[in-house]
Amino acid sequence: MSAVLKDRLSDLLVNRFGVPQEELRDDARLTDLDLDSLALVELGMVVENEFGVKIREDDVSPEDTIAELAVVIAGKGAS
Amino acid sequence: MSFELAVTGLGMVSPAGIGVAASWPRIVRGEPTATPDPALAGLPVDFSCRVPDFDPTELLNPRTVWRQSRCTQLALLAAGEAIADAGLDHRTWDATRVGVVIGNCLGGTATFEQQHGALHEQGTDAVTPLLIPLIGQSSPSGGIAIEFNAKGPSWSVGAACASGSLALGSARELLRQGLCDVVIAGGTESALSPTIVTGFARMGALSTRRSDPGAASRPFDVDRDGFVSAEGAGVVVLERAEDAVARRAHVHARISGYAMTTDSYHISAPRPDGAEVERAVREALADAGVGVSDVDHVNAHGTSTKLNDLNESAVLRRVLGDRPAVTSVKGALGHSLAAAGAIETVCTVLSVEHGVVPATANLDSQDPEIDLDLVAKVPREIPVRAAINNSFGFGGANTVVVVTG
Repeated sequence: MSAVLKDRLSDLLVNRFGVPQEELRDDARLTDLDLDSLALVELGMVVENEFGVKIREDDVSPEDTIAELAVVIAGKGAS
Repeated sequence: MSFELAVTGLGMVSPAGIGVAASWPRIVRGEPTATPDPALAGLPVDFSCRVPDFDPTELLNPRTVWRQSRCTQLALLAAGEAIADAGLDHRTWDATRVGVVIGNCLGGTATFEQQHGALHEQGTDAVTPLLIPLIGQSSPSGGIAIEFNAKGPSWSVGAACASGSLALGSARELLRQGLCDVVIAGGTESALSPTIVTGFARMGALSTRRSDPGAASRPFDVDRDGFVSAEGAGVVVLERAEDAVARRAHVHARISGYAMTTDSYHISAPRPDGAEVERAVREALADAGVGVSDVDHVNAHGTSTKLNDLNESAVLRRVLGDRPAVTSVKGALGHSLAAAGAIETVCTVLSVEHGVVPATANLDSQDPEIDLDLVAKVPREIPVRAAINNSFGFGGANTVVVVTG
């Protein structure tokens, strides 16, 4: 997974979903950042626009961490 | 004795500014706020009154703001201002005794319009999963309840352009019946989308003064040709008067009377004889125990349409004579539909509190058929013992709020 992808994902979480910068740790769970199941569908739309990859509903859960989310996006071929 | 509510908190987000302190001086001076609107470019009516410099991510909780439509965001901002102004702390209050009633007419229709376009251009995957919570009529009241820890009754009310005042009347009943100790009440609207504005234009309700938008909203002026679409939100914190006194809250003014009637006549035109508007004014004054000779000021519905202004002014002349100082802040702010009644009650409260009646913007030449003491050009400083605020909505809804010092 590239540092560029992680930076882009961080920007997206801060600017589009209002996640405070100081809470952006690799091991932060999405649910603890107020990203519930509705937010993850919205996140999927934004990721598709930003990275050109499609995240399915069962690819990510609110219990996943930021690091795990990044791995899923990278695994879809995004960089 | 009348049932009196204390207005202990005021919040306003208007085309004249964000917050009461920013908006009120411009409203008092009667400064027009209508400008060309890029979102309406190419349409028959391409100007509006928008809230300037509104950046929700700067002004509201960034974690939740993207889940709210603009009309809810405006309401959240006004509610936060009103609660702070009331000196109440939502983190520690008895949430079960706090209610929320918000007037709302076209709600998230601007969001719906944008999402409808996305569905047809890009397919189902382009539709946000938040669409329904974004556009639901109760989104503003629910959003306020979530953000400010209110667990009593919460709902949105609709009576077209009387919705904001209807919310105050509904809130009054919650307090009168003892179901709440505090109610956050008001109205919000943000429906400046191409389809909605075109709909109003097709009705012939809007001014078409494209050459000079700032002069387009001109209530009671002989050259008026319709209203100007606007957005905004007005919110007040209401408590029973004795409760406010007991906690030594600052009381801006009191809501002492309220009445609502319905024309039962036409989907959009006012009843020509004004009989039900007149009954609403008389019943509201009777409810307040206020005599017609005590009414020093009227904050009129005054939309700047031919029909409304003639009809309303005839009723006011008949009931109150030519003594009260009458104004319409829609000359400055345009017509924010469901928000208007709430914003204008905030203005009426401020007029009572500070003894100043705003100037009606663009009132250059009073319609000779209108025989009222209209406040034009410059604001008027007078003691205001009692004032009324009128709001009328499509479908024939007539609401009157009585404010006393």
